[in-house]
Amino acid sequence: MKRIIYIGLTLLLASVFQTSVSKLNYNLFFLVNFLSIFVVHWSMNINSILSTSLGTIAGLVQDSFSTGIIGVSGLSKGVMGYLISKISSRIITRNYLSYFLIILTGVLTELLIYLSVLHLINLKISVTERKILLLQPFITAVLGGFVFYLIGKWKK
Amino acid sequence: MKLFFKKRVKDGYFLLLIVLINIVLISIQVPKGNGASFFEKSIFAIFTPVNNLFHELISETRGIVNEYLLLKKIHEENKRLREENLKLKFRNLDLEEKIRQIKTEKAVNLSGENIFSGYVRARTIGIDPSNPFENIYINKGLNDKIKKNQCVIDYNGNLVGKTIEPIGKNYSKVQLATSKNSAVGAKIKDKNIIGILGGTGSYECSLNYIRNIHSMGKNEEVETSGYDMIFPKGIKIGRVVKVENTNSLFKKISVKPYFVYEELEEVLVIFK
Repeated sequence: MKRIIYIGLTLLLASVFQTSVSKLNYNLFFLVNFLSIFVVHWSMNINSILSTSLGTIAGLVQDSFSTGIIGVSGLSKGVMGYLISKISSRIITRNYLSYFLIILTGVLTELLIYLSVLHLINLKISVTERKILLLQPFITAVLGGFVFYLIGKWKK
Repeated sequence: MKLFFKKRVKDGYFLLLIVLINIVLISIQVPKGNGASFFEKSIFAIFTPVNNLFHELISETRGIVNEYLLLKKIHEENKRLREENLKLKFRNLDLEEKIRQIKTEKAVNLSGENIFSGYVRARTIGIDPSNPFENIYINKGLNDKIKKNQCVIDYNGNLVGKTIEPIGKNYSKVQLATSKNSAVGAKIKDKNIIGILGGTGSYECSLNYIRNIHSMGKNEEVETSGYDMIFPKGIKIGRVVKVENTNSLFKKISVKPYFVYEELEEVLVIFK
């Protein structure tokens, strides 16, 4: 129960951050993805079924405050949650580099699925947005790695 | 390990379910227009390879079965045709035999005016090496009641010659009408002109003792007269090819026999 509350709170926090950055600068919304950091964080600590569900919920939340089609992020984040859960159960993640790499893998996968679905449904995004989106995995991985590192330190 | 796989499969199904739910969700919102919806496209993309594989499998199996059936059919057809071919071969042999019999009967009818009591079919087994127009040897003899001076004709009823000594149990000698020693009572067909046909040892014979007073020309048909008491009357001999009047009493007449020397594979020996 405690964990569910934690999950809920972090989801809320990630959503707030995500919407807040878009208010600061519209392009920042595409540059960093707090909800992805949230999904990667919890996927590393829970089983794959829950990770997939959590990823989907987070994705649907992201879809709900974006102007896109609902379900696109749900799909990509759900798959990402599943993938991260599977990867993290096989490797030990303790330092910043491992956090960075795992987030980078997750966000890259998510982005790949996201763009593929957009392409399939013929939903065009602007060239600027696309360029910024390509930077998203790297920026998110840098920021997420740092956050995970701090969480690790705090836990200790 | 077993539990691990079980769990993994379960996870996989769950992920698939989530993916499908999202696809349905996206599909509902994507405007359809004239094209297929995203859901339809996704289902198509997922199931088409499986469908294709299944279709290929069915098609291949059907092809193999059809080919097998076709081969079986061809094999049966081949068997049937071989049997039919064999039957036709037998039928052909039978018909050939019948033709031979008909020819034999025809030859006898043509040559005999029903004065024969019978005939024997004989095969040529040899020729006189010193002069091929003299004698031949046949494979029938005393065992087949063949005697000296019996008339020999071919399958078309044309005169070939007569049997002469020696006559063995299973072979006989036949003196050809072209032999230098041959003499056959002959006449011009439909005319009362009688002569003696003698051989010359070549393709042609000479018709002797025809007086100059008789009017006759080329292409007149010559047949046996029956006066020699050896050859029955009316057997076709040949055709006149040359007629010359001489200073003597008699004409000089050349006759080309009808029988073809090279085709004397089988002959008929006639009983009187």
